Amino acid sequence: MTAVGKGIRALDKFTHTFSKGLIIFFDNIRGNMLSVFTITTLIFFYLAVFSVNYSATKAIDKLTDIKTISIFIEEGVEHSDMLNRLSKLQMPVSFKLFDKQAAKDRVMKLVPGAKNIEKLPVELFPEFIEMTMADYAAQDGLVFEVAKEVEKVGGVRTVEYGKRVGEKLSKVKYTSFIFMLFISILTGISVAVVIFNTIRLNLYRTQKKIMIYKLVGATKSFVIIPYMFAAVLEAAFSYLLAMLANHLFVLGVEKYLLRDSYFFLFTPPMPLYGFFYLLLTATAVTSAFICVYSFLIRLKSINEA
Amino acid sequence: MILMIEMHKVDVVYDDGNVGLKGIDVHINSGEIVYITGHSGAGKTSLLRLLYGDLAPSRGIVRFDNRIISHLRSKGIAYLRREIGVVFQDLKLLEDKTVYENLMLPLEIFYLQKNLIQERIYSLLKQLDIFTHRDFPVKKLSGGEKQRVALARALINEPMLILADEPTGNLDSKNADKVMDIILRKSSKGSTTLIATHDQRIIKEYPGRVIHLDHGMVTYDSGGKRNQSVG
Repeated sequence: MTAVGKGIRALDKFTHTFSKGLIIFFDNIRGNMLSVFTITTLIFFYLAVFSVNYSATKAIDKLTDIKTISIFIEEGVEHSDMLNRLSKLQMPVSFKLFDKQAAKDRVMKLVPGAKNIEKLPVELFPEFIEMTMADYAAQDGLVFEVAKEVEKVGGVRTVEYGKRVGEKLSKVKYTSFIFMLFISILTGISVAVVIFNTIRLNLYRTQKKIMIYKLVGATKSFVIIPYMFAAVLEAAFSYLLAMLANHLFVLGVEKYLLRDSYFFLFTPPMPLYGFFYLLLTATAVTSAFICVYSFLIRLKSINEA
Repeated sequence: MILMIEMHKVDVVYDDGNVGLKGIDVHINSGEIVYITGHSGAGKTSLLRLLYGDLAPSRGIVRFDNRIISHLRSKGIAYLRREIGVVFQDLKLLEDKTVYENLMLPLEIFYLQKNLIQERIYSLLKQLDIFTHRDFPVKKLSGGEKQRVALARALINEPMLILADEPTGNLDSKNADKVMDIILRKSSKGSTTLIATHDQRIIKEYPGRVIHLDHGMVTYDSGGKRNQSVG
């Protein structure tokens, strides 16, 4: 066979397998729409929990940025004087002054939807100096030392830094990681079981047809691959619905529950969505393969059909 | 003459201990028409099942076209079946599907394009005189018509070997003759044909080699060497 001939044959094979997969997918939807809803609900639940978890982790990361120290200065102390005093400490740091307007802008940047905060007068926002450690010096112990030194400088009211908060919240982060891992495994198993059952039902409906295919010389892959395609389509369809539902959920929570909150919800970034989709597809394909393969093994004789 | 089928000292013992076939030694050449006769339970269907790889011998060798069937793996069995057309006693047609859809199944596995599939099916349906029924669901056809559809499915890939299990069993003589005419027409093009049958009229009208089975043993073979007691 020539290369062109092989190409045409491969295209015919793909077209046939895809169209068969499409037929099985629509059969599944007609015969067992509940399975699509179940998978969608499972994935939506997973994405929603992930979104909350992801947002909480990001918030914790911001709170515990150990490279920065916020220095709040006493009323009446000149900024330039304070910057001079701090620079005399001769430490590997850089300074940035936040006056009242800049402090308010910073808050608004962190909580873009908080309209009530925007209405507050600028005088209510305390001025502060943000001290950022150089990367090579940003070690837990050194930040702590620097913070202690800064506290001793005249004119400094309070010093805030993330180390202690970070220590406390790191356990929360670890717990949430374990929780997400557990939820991921549980969701994966549940999706695999639902897909397995949906395909098994379809196989029983078309058992006689499959046996006739075997009789006339169909290979295992001829039977199995369209089911794998159908599983990919079902996973993609459910995932799109779940993504949409999650976006609506996040928008709704942002708009009604977290309107004036310092905490706000993120949907997972696209690469993470893509990663989850790949995991889901792999789960669906594996489940479909095991389901059809075990079915074919069990139905050995054509005369059983 | 090319040796197409060779069975050497073949035994079949089922899981429940029943003996299906015992000490079968049969050689069949390419293009031969062979009737397998015997009472119910004599082993006719088991013998056919051995040939399309649906049953493995407990002992002995079954060779088809120089391939030992019991040595073939799943893919090998699939490719073997592409060269064999089987007509089952219970037909095994999809009753809710149309005649056309039933005949599509053996062609789909070759990933043929739709126009080629249509061309082949139409041509065969015309030869079998059921072209006008192509869009009828099988369940709406008469017994003779269903038999011809089952035969069409077996013949559509122009197999080297045709296996027919009681193809005229439930038919009146007119329909039985039609079915036999079709089988013999195809057989005359070089296919080897094995027909399991009770129908003595058919054997007389359409002469061929006769292998008689009794309790799983060959008791008479009109074309080969005689085994055990001669009937």
